[in-house]
Amino acid sequence: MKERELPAHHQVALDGAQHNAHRLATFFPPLIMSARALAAQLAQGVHGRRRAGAGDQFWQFRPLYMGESVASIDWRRSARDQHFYVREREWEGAHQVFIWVNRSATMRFRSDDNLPSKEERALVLALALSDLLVRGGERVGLMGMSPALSTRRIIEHFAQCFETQSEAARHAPLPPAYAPHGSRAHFVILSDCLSPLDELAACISALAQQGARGHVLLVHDPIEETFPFEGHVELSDVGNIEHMRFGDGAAVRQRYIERFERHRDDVDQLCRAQGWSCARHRTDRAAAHALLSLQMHMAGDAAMDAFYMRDVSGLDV
Amino acid sequence: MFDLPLAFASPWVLSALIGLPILYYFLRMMPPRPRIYIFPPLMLLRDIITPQQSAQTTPWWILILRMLIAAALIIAVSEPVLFPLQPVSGAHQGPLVVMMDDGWTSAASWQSRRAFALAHIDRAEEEGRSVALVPLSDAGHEIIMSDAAHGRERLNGLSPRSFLPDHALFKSHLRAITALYPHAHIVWLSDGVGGYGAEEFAAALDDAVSHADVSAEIVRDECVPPLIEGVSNPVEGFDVAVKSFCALSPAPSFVRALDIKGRVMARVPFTALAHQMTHVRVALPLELRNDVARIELENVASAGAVWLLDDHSHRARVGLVSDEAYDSAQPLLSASYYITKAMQPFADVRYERDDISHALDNLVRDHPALIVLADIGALNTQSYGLMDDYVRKGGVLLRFAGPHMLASADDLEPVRVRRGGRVMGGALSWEQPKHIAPIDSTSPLFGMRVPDDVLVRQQLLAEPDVGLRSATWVALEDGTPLVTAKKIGQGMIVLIHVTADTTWSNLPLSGFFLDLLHRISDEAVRVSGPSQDQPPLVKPEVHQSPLLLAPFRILDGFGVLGAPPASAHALSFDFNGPVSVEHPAGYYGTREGMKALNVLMPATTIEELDLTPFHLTRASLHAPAPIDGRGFLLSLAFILLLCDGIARICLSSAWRPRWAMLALMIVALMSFGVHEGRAQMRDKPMPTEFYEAALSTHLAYVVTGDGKVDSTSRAGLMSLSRALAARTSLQPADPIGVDISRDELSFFPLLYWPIVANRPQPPAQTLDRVARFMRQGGTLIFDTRDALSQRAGYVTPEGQWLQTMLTGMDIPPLQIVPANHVVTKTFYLLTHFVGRTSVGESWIEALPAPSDKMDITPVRAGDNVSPLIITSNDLAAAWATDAYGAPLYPLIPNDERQREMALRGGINLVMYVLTGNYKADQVHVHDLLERLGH
Repeated sequence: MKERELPAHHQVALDGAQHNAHRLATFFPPLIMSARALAAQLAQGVHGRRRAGAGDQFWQFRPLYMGESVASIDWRRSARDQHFYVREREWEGAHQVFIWVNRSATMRFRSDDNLPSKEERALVLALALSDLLVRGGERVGLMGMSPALSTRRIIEHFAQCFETQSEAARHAPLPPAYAPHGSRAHFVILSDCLSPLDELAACISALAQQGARGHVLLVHDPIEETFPFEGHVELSDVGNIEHMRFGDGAAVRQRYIERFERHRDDVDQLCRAQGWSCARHRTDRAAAHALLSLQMHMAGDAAMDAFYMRDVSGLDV
Repeated sequence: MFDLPLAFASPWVLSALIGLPILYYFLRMMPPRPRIYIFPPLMLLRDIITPQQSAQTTPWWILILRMLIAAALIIAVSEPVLFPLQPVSGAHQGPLVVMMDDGWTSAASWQSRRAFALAHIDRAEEEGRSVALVPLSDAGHEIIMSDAAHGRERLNGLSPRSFLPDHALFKSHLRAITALYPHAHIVWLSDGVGGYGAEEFAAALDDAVSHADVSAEIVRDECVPPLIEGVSNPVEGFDVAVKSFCALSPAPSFVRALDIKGRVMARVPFTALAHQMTHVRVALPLELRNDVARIELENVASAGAVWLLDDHSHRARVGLVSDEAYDSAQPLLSASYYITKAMQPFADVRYERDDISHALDNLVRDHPALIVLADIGALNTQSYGLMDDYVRKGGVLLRFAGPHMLASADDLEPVRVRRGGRVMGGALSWEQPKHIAPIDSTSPLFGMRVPDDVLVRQQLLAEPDVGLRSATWVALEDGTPLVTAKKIGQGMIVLIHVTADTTWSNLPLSGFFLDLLHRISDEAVRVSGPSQDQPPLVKPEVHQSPLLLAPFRILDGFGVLGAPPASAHALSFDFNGPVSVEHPAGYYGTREGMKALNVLMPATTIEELDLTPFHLTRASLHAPAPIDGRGFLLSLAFILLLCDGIARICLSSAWRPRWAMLALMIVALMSFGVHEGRAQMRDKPMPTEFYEAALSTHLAYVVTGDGKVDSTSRAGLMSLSRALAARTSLQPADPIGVDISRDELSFFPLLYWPIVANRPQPPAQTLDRVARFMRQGGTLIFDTRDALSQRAGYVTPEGQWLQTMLTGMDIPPLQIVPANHVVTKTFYLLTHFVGRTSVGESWIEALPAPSDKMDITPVRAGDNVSPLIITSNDLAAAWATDAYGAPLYPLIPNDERQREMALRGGINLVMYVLTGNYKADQVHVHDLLERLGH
């Protein structure tokens, strides 16, 4: 029922490098390992998106079709034998996935020492997802921290980016409003979305302006869903600033649950309004479950994109 | 405000109670803090919870609990006292005079009186007043004021007396005091009993209060304790007249009858109502009734609740005359035998076998209640006159029929007798022997059960006169009288129409005969009355000159018999005055013949003191003692704090540990209670080594702590046990060494105690155990082992040690073992007991002196085994042998035969202890006579 080793109201006070170094030393390696394991679990079903299309990378040589322009013949290859070959480039849509993890104070909460904090779970999911996506041929980046990349060691790279994230960025409860993205970008937001709805709506609509798709995964702690408090209880927020006292927690429980569900439904509505999808995850459930659903959503989106792309790519731009 | 007598030592603290409402306000606003949990989506709750619901109030019962705790603490600090002692008003600051009634009427509440007087003396000392404590039995001295210490000393030295003092003697002292000390405060601790000058004394006090400036108060118990006003001894049982002054508690009280040794023989419950005389019947069989020595009320510690009985109250005196020639070799043929045997339980029969006129002379001089003539025919003139006189003055004459009466009779008869009786069932008669008819209601003997096995074969008939019917007490089946009686003058003549032996009927063989004679003797006692009965109260053969009886045991105010005080004087045997200082209540005389003097004369009554005509302040003796409330209130506060702690645990919202914490707290609380309540005594289980002691007979010796002596005792008793096993039928097991202060003594019939002079004296509890051992029938053999160092006029160290030890204990008188004591004859015939030395004497309980010159027996024994035997020849050393039978110690006149005699002495001792005095019977009389040279 407390922060890792420190109560929440001490958390904000400790901002020095010492604290960061301690965290850095102990925090990420296990995350990396779990992310890799998670990705390995699901990597078998992932197919590469390897096919021909417009892009920069060389893909394959194909024979010349009748009527195709002569300028596209690759003379070097064609000189090897009697036929004419055209260099075909990989299909490389401006399809980038940008992930953002909420690392603010509310995410750093865990209710039980056996459970990971929401931030940990979100980070693990982010790293594993990025690995899966890279294996599947996508390019993944971190919003505000890293451009879209497609390296093999994406997990380590992103881990390093997370480690060196600035404090100000870490405390932000909402994704940065301005994110450089191409025309086709996917946003994956891993957060508990406990901010006020209007701010959330503004953020999402800002991100979805140019038709970008997105996916929000709500990560919550089990007590946030179940409200297991009994009797006389005093609750405080993570900054230990606000306190609320209840004579009987059990009496409040039902109303709180309704309110919570309503909030989540509102977030869901918000996402759907922008054409985004929303999923829920509890830290006591298996991470693989969330990752799988994420991945399926992404695949669905990609299929939709591919569908749209075929129409357009016939022009071979 | 309240009716409770409540006082506060620091009442200003109670002003803190004003703070309770403020406390209430604070408690309400500051409920106990619950646990704090971090909850990230708190902002969501903000929307749904109204401020009202989030504000937390303390539950109302916690508020009340805490206010109670605060109130209890505040009141406890102000030192409340329930029933405080009333301070004396300031006007009467003069000296305190406490006058205590110390007759036996105040004995029952003596402790409360002492406590009351002590409380007053203490308070007077605090206030710096002088004190005088005056017992009202001590009228000879003036009242002198002194300080509280003297008053307390005097108080401690007082104890209730067994007579009621005369209060009127104090009037002059009272006047003197009021003259000297005008502002005195007089407290009279009265027993509440009127008479004996109490009213005059109260009047004098009243006078002093109204005319002089003294203040006085009378302190009384709620009621005078019950007392016994008289005891009579009719046929059915003792009739005890109990007077009670207020209703006793609903639980029944008991009347107890005790014998001379203090054992309870009967215990009868009764309930008494206020101001009433209750007659309680104590029914006991005739044979036991003569053993009763006192009758008392249980749990009333007062001399008035004890009634002492002596021979006088037991038995009627009966004289018997008969002129038979039968000798004692054929007792069953003599009428006197049957009469004596029948009347013995309830009457003292004096049998005169002399010539009739001399016999009658002797008897009449004794003033018996009843004279029985067993078949005496006509009396000569002188005897006739004597008897006539005797009857007219209130004596009862009982005549039995017989051949002499058949032949000739005089008219000292209730009815006219027909000469020539009737014979039934004989050879020439045609009638059967008759049974006794049921007694009809006009007869004084109505209610007696008539047996159906009495057959009358021959009887004396009566002329059928007019008065025959009314004179008949018991008749036969056909209406002929069996027992007739007639009043003459103040006395009565009763005639039984059969003989007192079995020739004419089998009446003397039946129980009806006993009852009949008992009723007649009771009638005799009743008719003759106490004035006729002026007997010598002790048997003339015991006291040759019975003029004065010395005090033997005196009753003190509490009703306990003890040694007579110096102020008790002897009284004459016909003393019948009231008790006083010179003649307190108790027994006078000797153990054989005692006269009892009781606190109440037969005709006196005790009435309550009536204080209504006097205007004196009255107080009750049993005012409740001041109770300090602090302890109660502080413990209440503590318990409430514990409850508060439990409430906090219940209210906090620890999920899992809640029930565990609660259970832990309850267990902690229960451990408080567990350690109390173990104060009841439990029987110690017997140590296992004494299972062995209980299963077989062991000779035991007392472990003195001196190793040599103990090993000698052990070896000696071991060889004695072997000798016993070899020569007698007793098979004792090994001797056991006993720690006199710890071990259970009741397994051992015999305890051998060698005295070692330099060991410490045993403590008082050990002496109690030893006394109890002796009382319960055990025998102690003290061996002082100092025969050689004994000289006339010099007490050896061992002797000194033994004397010191036995000083406080109740031991019987001792004598040197007489040559014809049964202990010297129980197995072997010995003359004295020898051990390692032979010059020492042995001492044993003194036997009663031989009673009659005629029945001297060759061997004498008392009723019980002597509880102690003291010898000074070292017995164990003579017996002691090693495992092979070789003796361990040389004897002083170095004679091995003496060792054998020592062993024989030991065997005799053991046999005496185990078998008692049965050897004193006549079985061996021929051998004994031969040996003793008769």
